Amino acid sequence: MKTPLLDVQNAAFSYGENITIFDDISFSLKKGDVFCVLGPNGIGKSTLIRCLARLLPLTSGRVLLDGHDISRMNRQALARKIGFIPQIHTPAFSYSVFDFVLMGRSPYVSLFSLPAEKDITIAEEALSTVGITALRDKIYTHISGGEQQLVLFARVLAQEPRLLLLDEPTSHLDLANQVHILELIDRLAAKGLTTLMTTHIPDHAFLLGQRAALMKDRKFLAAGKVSEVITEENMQKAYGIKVKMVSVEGTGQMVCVPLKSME
Amino acid sequence: MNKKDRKPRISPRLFLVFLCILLGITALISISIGRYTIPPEQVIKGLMSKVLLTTPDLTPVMQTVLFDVRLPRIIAAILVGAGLSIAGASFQGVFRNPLVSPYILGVSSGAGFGAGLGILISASMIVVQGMAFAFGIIAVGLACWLSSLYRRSSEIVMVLAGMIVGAFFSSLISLVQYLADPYEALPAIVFWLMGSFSTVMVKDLIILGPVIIIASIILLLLRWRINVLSLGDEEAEALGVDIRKIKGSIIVCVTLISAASVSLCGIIGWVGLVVPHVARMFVGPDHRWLLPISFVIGATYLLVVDDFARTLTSAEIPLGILTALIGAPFFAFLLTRKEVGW
Repeated sequence: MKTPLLDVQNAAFSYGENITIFDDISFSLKKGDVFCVLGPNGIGKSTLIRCLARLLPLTSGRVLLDGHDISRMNRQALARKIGFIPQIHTPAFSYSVFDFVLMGRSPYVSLFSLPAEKDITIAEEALSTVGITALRDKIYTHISGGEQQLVLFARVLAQEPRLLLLDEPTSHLDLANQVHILELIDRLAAKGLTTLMTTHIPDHAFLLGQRAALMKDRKFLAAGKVSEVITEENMQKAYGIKVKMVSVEGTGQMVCVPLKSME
Repeated sequence: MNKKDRKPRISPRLFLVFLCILLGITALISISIGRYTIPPEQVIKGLMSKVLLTTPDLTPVMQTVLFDVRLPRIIAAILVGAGLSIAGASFQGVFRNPLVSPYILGVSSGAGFGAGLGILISASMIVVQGMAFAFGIIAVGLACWLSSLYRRSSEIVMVLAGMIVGAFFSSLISLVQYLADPYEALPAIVFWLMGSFSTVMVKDLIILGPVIIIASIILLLLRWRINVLSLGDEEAEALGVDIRKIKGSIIVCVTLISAASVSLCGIIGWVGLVVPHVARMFVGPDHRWLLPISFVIGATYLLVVDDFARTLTSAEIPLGILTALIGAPFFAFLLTRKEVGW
């Protein structure tokens, strides 16, 4: 059997001695997979994603990328394969959108050089793939949060990774842009890009229609096909509220509707 | 690089060329003015003869003033102004904070203490400079060590550590001043702390000049990487930057430049803080242009201020006083302008 692109084996992470965030998590992703991680606030989804990007070291277990342990790869080689989008924040300096996207080329520009013509072309392409060429010369700190999120997406595409790690990529977007980004992830997956994202919106996992996991009590409560993971029963276990799963007439698409508690 | 790279304020490349020409003219004027005026054409003649290795057609007095007094001083002003400015621009990027100066990690207080101690024990000038340089580096080393005690040392922890070390060495400076002989050592220490190029000699430049030049070149080479670093540690790491190594190299370069500057001419404040802001006003925050532009503006600025320091009154005005007198109000003016890009 082919080695999976990402293979997470018994991963665990804790702060200090006794604050365990997650424990014994294993899963693997193939080329072109899209994997949505859901779970309550503060459950450790972001921590998991940071461990996969090697921004935090696992306490035990290991993460294999193409069969290589990521803890032994150098930073630059890793950044050519794994792209990470953090939740947005305001940078200290007001770079132009283009300069910002160009920084995605960092893993390909050698230490003492500047981005070359080729890097500039790739950054331009990333802008047009996301559909924000019009923002090119705007100042990053002056555009809206939603636009910033699209710019971050363009930057990670300029990085040309094989695995995308997205921490709530749709959190600041309006409805249309949410769908726009999800469709983009879908399109890139068809081309072979693997994506792991955290989200708070179960419907997004259904829209992407591939795989999902529900995180609860330091573990994956369930992981697998979206329709098998996001069920009324599992959602109640994870979030402690009642939900109703409904199929949207005429499309076959599932939606998850939270219900008022009965008390 | 693409022409449409940024919102066209002015073409940064043309601006850089213009600034270099301006610096050349300023240098020429600076050499000729002073207590003993040398006409510019004589200056050019003298310089050309040095380059072509012919005997200059100048009076002996002119030669001494030109080559032993004024030229070293002008070169020192250019190097220190340029060095402190590029160091400040780099630190502001790395610490993601436009209020940071190259002295933020305590280098000036450390070097000031080293020099003060040297003067106190009436060591020779070269030893005083060596002690200033060494204690400047020790201070930064202490600040780095202190911040590394934290598990994941952030920029703010480093700045705090720098302030702690700075305050510690400042009190040691006071102690040295308190102990110093009030008729000889004390005025020497005070004058030295206020900064001046009046004592710069050719042999100082031979040692400290290359330090400033080489460290500046390394910072220039790293300038695009500073853009990436200014996004913060986590993002820079995700973009493939080995932050420990690169931040470390930048801190070493900035420390070498500021320690060399302080041992050459004492503590000259505000240059490394204000000049990067002026440069940012013209070319924006992109360090690809910000660093070279800061470099040239800083050189020109300190050269002009030093011209005033030595020609305004019959006695020299300490340079550090002038740079602060000009820098502080100018910085206040910058803050009132909304479009400053940071």
